[in-house]
Amino acid sequence: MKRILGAFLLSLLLAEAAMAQRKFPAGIEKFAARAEETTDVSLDKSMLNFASKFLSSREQDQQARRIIASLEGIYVRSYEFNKPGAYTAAEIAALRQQFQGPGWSHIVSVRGKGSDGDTDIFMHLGDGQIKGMLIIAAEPQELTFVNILGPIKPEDLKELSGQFGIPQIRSPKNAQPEGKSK
Amino acid sequence: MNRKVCTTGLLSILTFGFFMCAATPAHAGGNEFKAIVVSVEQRYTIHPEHIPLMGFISFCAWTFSKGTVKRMHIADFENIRQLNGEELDTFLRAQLGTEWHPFVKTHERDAREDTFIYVRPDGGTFRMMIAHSEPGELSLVEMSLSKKAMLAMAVDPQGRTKSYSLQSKRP
Repeated sequence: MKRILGAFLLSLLLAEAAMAQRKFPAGIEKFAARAEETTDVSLDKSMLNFASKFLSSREQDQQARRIIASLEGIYVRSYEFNKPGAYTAAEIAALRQQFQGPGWSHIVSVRGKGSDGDTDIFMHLGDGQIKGMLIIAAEPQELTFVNILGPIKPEDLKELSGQFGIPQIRSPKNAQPEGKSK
Repeated sequence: MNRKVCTTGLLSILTFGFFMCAATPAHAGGNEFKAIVVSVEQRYTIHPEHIPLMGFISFCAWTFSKGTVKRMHIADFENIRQLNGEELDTFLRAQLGTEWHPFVKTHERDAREDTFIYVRPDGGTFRMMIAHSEPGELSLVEMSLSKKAMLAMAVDPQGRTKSYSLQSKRP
């Protein structure tokens, strides 16, 4: 019985570790067949280090420099569709569901009207620290997944929004903080 | 008069020679590009199309980009059979080695076009390899980018990729 329990706990730990390292939610490849254009952007640590060294000395860039210097990577996958309706709300809900487990906290949920689309931000926590962030931005004709690896605070996103492949994140004023820390 | 014509002719030859030298792959980047071209030739049993005035193209790229793009090399392959984007990406990554980082990858479903961009630091600059494929055709472009250009690329990868991708379509 102890062995079975041990194996079960080990498999849970491995599953969590695998989820943390996986760049994007499982099962998003199916959208590629429906998308007119698929784009992958990989900014690994060396690229981010490079970018951090050469950002200008403007105050805003200094903030971005500090943030990206500490990150391990930014990975973006986006799907652009010819027309709305290429994915269902249930499909996106199933993707969100993958980040409801231990180690993840759903920190922001923005539900837009019309062409605004929805944005969800999940924070990956481990050992009492922020390990990364996953963003799902679902617009009628575009689906974007962003995986940021490394210590990043929710307020840091504002500095990176619209840069490094990260889509513009709308003002948190409209956001519904989920606050479901697990 | 004859002397003037002679001087003009000499200047033309020197200018032409300068352009051609700019395109000569004498540095490491050129040799590496050559190796990639040869590996593509062997893989797909095809030779690249001849691109006239490559040195002039490289010079124009350097001039119009205000020095941010230099040492450009282009190879254009036509009538390639069984060209698959994913397979091409795997093949190029294996040929380029671990020093090159995959940076941007795009796929256009209807047009069946793929663009792969790989980068590697090279001293004070960055080298960028772009592979653009569409049915039956493959273009390879390699260039050195200044830090400023590379930073612009890192900050807006999607936007810049579209612009570089369009450039690589028409060498």
